Amino acid sequence: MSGIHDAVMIRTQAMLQAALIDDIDEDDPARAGVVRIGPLQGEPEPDTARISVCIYENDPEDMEGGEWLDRISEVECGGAATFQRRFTIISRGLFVNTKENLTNARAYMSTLKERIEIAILKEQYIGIVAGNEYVARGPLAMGITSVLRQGGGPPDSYDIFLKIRFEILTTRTGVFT
Amino acid sequence: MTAAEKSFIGLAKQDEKGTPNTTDAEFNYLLFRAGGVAPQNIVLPLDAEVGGGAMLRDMVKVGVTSGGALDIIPRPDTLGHFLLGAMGDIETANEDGESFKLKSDAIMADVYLQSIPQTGYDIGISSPPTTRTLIVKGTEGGEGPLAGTVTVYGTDALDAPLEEDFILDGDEYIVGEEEFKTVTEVDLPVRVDPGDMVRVGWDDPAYRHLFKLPTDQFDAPYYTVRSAPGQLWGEQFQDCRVAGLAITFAGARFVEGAVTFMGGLPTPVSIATWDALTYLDEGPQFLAPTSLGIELPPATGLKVLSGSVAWGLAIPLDEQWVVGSYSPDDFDINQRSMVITMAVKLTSDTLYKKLMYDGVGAVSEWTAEIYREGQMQLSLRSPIEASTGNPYELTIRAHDTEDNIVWSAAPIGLRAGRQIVMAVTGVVLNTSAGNPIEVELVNTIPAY
Repeated sequence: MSGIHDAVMIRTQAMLQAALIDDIDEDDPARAGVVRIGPLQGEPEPDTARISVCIYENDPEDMEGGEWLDRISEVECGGAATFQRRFTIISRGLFVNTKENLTNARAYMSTLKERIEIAILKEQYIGIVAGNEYVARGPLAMGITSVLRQGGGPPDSYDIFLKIRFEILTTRTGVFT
Repeated sequence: MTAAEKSFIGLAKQDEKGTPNTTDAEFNYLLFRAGGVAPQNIVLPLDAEVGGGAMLRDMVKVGVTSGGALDIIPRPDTLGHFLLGAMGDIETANEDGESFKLKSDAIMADVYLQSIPQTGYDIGISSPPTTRTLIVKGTEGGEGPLAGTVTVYGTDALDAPLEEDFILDGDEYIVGEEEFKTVTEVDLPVRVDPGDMVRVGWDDPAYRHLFKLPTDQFDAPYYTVRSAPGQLWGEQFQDCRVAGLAITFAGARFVEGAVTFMGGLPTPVSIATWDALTYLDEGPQFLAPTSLGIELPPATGLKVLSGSVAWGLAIPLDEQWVVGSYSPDDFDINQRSMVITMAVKLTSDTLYKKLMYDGVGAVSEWTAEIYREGQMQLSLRSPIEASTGNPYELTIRAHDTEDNIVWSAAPIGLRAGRQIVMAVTGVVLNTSAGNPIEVELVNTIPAY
């Protein structure tokens, strides 16, 4: 048994595992090393993963908690509420072991960003149901925001961060009764 | 404090006017965003009379109707009731009033039986997308019962020749046992009555409901509407007709809408026997972004930002108040209308010239020809599937051959920083024969 958030996270992990790892040639330099739900917690370490992709409910870096909260977008008489369920994908490309130069490091993370965005837009989360809550609408392009931030590590151990936010709508029926 | 969200409204079709439906299992309860259905009392103040003083001396109730409007996010099951109420009739597949199964004609569409057997019939025959068992269904053109044997020929999963006999039994679905990979031809028996037809397809849990105008275009079913505001009390409104229905769509939003009811005598009732949660239509929403792109005519795509399809039914009560009754005699439909509106982002002058100048977009001067086009693609879909590979879907189409929608446009207003958008309106016209308009709804319930 799981709530709708967990079901969406599990689907997202499977979708990104395919789009970023399983369906990508092993010698593709933009191929991710790991896709997991939640932080790496050392399994593996980010330098070992090289490109790590972590999936979160809401945004773990939104410390105030007010920016990327789940919200109710629609309420219907008869007992239904439609929620904006919000998620964040945080990726880190830590090229300390493979020593890519800046041009390549940026190109790989840009490719990864594109692959994640396309995968999210293609995924409609059809059929995800948890109790009396179901996914009513998948991600829309206008609901995706992202940031790519170059960190330290020059000249040959670049550290690039990527964050992509997306939201879906879920409808829960049988409430307020 | 009582939350409005705790309220229920349900509806069920009546067998006839004057007999409210009280069978809870026949009700569909719906979700709605705002609105309500309630008694509409007609209260008459006593006329001012000389010698009566300065103040009003009395008021009396002289009549009552019921009705109201609901702001909805349409769901596939209850939308069918609204469409039946607005359109008036539905095509049925059998005497039980069921609609056709979605894929019941996917191998062979309806073929009229003849006075002699048709062997090796292969016109328009398709094979199933994957190996599967088939169904055969007859449609009776007369008293029947339709009988005879339909033989289907094809190949099995190993490409070996395969044939199977289906013995017709009136309008029942006949389910086969063999699994066909391909279907090549069909032997058809002689007819029992003129108009007998046979179709071949495969079983599928989804149904295709085809709503149309009734033969008597002034007819429509009556509904009993139930309301329980906050579950504090219950009300029953009998003899209700759908007086208006609007389906609206806009990019990146759920398909939305509004439905209006007009009906007769209200009755306070207990809600103890209402099992609204069991019969609540909590089905999926339709979504603009997962719907098909709108085309006018087909293969000519429009960039539609938003739009609506609106049905209007004029049900005037002027001549319905009769002596001896507090409620109207009937809710006769005097007129029907159907209007399609769209906000179209323009990227060329083609549509503009058709609408503003000559009706065809071919000449360079204004003429009095109006743009007529009945062929269009307007199909709203849910991301959720009614059956594998088949989403819940609402499709609207005009007459097959008569261009029975006339289109016009409002003058374009330009605004800096914005796109060039034109408001386009299509009005559906009656036709000389056939259905002026058909609405097809795919969902999983068998009948309305």
